[in-house]
Amino acid sequence: MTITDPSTRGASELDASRTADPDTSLWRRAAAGEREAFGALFERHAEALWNHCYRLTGSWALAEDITSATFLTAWAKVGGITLVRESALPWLYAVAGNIVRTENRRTARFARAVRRLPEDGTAEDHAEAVAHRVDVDRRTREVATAVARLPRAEREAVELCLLGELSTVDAATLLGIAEASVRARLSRARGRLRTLLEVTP
Amino acid sequence: MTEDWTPPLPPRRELPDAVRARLRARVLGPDHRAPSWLGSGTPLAVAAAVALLVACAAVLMPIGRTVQPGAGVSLRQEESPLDRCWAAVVAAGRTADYPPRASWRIGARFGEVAPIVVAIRTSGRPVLCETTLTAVTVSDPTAPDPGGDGAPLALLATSAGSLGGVVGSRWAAMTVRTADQAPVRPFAVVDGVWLVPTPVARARELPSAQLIGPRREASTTPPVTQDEPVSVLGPGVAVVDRPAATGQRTSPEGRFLGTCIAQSTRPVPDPLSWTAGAMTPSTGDTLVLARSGTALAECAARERDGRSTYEFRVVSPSVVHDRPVRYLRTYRCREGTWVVGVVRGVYATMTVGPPGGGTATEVPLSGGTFALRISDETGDGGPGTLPRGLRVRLLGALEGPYEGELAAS
Repeated sequence: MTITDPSTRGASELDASRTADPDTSLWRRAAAGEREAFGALFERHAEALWNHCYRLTGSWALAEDITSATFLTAWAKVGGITLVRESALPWLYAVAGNIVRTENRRTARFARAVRRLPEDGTAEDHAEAVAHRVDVDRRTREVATAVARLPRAEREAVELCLLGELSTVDAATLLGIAEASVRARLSRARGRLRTLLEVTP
Repeated sequence: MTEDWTPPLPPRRELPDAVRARLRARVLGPDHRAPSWLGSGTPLAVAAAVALLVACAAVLMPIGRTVQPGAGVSLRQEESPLDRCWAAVVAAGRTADYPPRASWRIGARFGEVAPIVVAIRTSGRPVLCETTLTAVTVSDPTAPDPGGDGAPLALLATSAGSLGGVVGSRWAAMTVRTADQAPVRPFAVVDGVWLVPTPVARARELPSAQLIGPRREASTTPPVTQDEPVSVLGPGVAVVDRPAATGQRTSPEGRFLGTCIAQSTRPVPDPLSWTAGAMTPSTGDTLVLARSGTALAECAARERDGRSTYEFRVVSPSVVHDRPVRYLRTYRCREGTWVVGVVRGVYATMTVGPPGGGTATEVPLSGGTFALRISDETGDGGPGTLPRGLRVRLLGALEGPYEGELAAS
């Protein structure tokens, strides 16, 4: 399994979308019903979105399902959405965040109808790998939980800029607010998160 | 400093090919239709689909995917049931028919001792496997794929009550109806694989299943249900890999155990291997403990309106091994209230004294199990409960004496 450089991975995804066939072009073609164009968007952004969904949930299993759900939502809405930036990634990140929140609200209700498989019901047969993964997943889930407790405006900024590693400019455009507002929200959110995560200054 | 601070985040990972392939199949696969705004006449209810898909994702433990860690995750090194299942495949000479062992991953697992049933994700078709105290049963990997809308196939249906199979992947959940028409509580379908979480009586006699979903349906509309017959397929491999001596059925305890096993309303794994242990008086309501190797079980009869019902239950292995003496339960019958329990195998004799001192009584041990009559009125939690302060002394040839209190926990 390859671990990529966290500082560059998101950037390279964005850069790729700004080269040969920009997202805006692919998005327009997908809106016209061209499946290949939507497929190209999928291939371009699946990895970044999958990683982002993991950071939102702390679960690779949920990340996979939410990634697919996000793309299905995109396919459903591509005809009615116009990208305001060159990359579709900020919009996909925002949709994923909404799906995670919807899923969190719905879980309890659905669980009453469908029996939940026990948490110890699945495990690969390598305890060492499981132990390492448990640590990483637990840390990620703690962050995700803390982010979910932020006020909505701050949460949106954090999900896009801190978890998604988007620029404040892209986030501001997507959220329809000034870049300075995004920076202010991030500043307040950082303070709250440090408290929530009990980080010593 | 706060401006530079970021929460601890995991490094990004390269998207594994297998995950990308699954995502691609879901997003761009054959089920993918033209967007609804094109007016194709076959509108894609994607928005509706998403809701249930996500809802399902929240409650299903996907087959073969990374586990969600939690308090229930065991990190102990245990014998993997996969190894035993694969060994059975090897012993049967069927390795060429199964996906390679290296690709096997546990997707779901139920049971602690017998039966243990696992759904296995492989590089090919999914495989289901049951292990009991003596035997291994592995599903046939060449069973047909039911396809997206297909009716359920039971790939594993055993006398020990394990039941699972495959069904069209569009279904989110299902339940099964046994020959007794007693529906099992709904359970999840994950990637087209289903596995009943608890043993099912008469598992091979399944008239029908009720499918719940489909997965891609609006969350605002109730899930639809659809009744389908269940086809039960034979296993690919069935091997007795740990043969056990047949438990005797000639003593009163043995005869009662034989009757209880034969008429149990719950399925009994390895029915011949159980040897009777301690038993309460055999009139009316009766309980007998049973051993098979290190495993422990109880079988109880209840008499109501002149008719007896029998129930066999395997006891959790952690109860058996973790203490010198372990109280299991009290059992009220016509002759009074009895305390039953188990001691470690290293002890040969047991005496029990009343609370606060007094003459101790020797309690016979049978296969490390005991049944002790107590006063109906002495229980601290009310009549029929375990009295506090019962003093236990255990002696063994190779172990020093143990003295302690018989406690409920």
